[in-house]
Amino acid sequence: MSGTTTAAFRSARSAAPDTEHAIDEVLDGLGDSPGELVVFFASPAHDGPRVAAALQARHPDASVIGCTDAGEFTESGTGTLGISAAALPTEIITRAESVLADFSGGFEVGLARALMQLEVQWGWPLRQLDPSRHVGLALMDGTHGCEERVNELLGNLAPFLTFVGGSAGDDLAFSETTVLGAGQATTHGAVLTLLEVAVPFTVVKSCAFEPIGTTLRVTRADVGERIVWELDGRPAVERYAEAVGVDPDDLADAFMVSPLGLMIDGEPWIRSPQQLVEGGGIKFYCEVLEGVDMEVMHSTDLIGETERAIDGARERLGGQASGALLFNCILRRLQMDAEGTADAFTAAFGGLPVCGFHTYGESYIGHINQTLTGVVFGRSASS
Amino acid sequence: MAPKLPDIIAALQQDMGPAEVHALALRVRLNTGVDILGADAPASPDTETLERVMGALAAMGHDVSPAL
Repeated sequence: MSGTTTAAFRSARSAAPDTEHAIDEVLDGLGDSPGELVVFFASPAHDGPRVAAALQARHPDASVIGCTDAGEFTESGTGTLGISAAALPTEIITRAESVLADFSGGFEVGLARALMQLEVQWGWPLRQLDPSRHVGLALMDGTHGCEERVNELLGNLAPFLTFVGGSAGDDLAFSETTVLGAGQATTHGAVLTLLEVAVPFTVVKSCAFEPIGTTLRVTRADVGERIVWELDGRPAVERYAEAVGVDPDDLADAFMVSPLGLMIDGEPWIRSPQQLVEGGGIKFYCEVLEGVDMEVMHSTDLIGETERAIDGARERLGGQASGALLFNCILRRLQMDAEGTADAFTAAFGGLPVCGFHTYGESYIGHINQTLTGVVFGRSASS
Repeated sequence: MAPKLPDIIAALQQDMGPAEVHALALRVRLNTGVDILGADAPASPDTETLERVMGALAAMGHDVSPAL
């Protein structure tokens, strides 16, 4: 067990495989101070509702939200099969309201009902809230491919608010993920949380890629299935392999370091290929529209970029950061595992208390891949 | 005559203010790769590009075709 306490933000992590033992360690790490918002991320090997109930019992006035993951981390380390958690008190979060959107009865109905409920709970239309004092968190199930639709509806309903978050994982089984919030849980839906923040805050988005100078046009795609069938009018596998300079049979091995993406104002926005599809297609971790020109990317310095992102957030907060909730792509975790840089990743936070998990996709403006997103909270003037 | 990007922007501005259009434009760019409002907006986008933008807008809940 490990836990960190600052004046305001508490994080804790347990690697214990037994849920009761892990809960005890996390509760010890978070301490007794009241939290307005309590967040947890847990391996699907743990009993998520049991974890949520224990945290709610310790923090009865808090909004407790969480999801299953593909690994979890705090500033003290990253691992799998455990639990990470954070408690954010009223010095940081003055108000938190959560709703669970269940899509099992239909996506549109489920999301519309949840967003209406969120506005009712808040007592104010989301589009009229001050974006400098409010931020949203979106935890989505990671196996039904609803993230783009959720982001679009959030963008329409709350165009001035920032929602950040990630897609729940299941330790790479890609079978079933769970999101938890508002005292409920679902394997097909999302938990949306609106926060009123008492301190300055800033959003981070970091990914370590640069374009190699080759652009590929998506000429045939099945958007709903997230499959690209043709690039530049040729079978996607064949053209992609040629662009990255590998044999088509070896293309899947190149996905992690050579994804596709868009460059917007000098920043890469990644679309990650997931697997080859029989017939020459490639399935992606997010939707790719026909007609889009995408750059072939190449990985750079993941750890250095992470460090720069956190340092940049600190600077934007006047050097006064108190903690962060972070959402890190599973592909970045796998890259770190392969390169032996997991410890360097958490060291890149520079001692900033954080709570995060390794995701099946990240949300910020839209649904993106191979990226670290999150929100970094500052400090009040008196702390 | 085929619509131009300014026509699409004008259609959007019938229902939303400049800040909301700006926010929407970023989401359109993330989906389509096409800058419809900023410094990288194409001066004379081809029909295919315009159709792609309008299709993306419609999918995002902003069908501008009736206003064009």
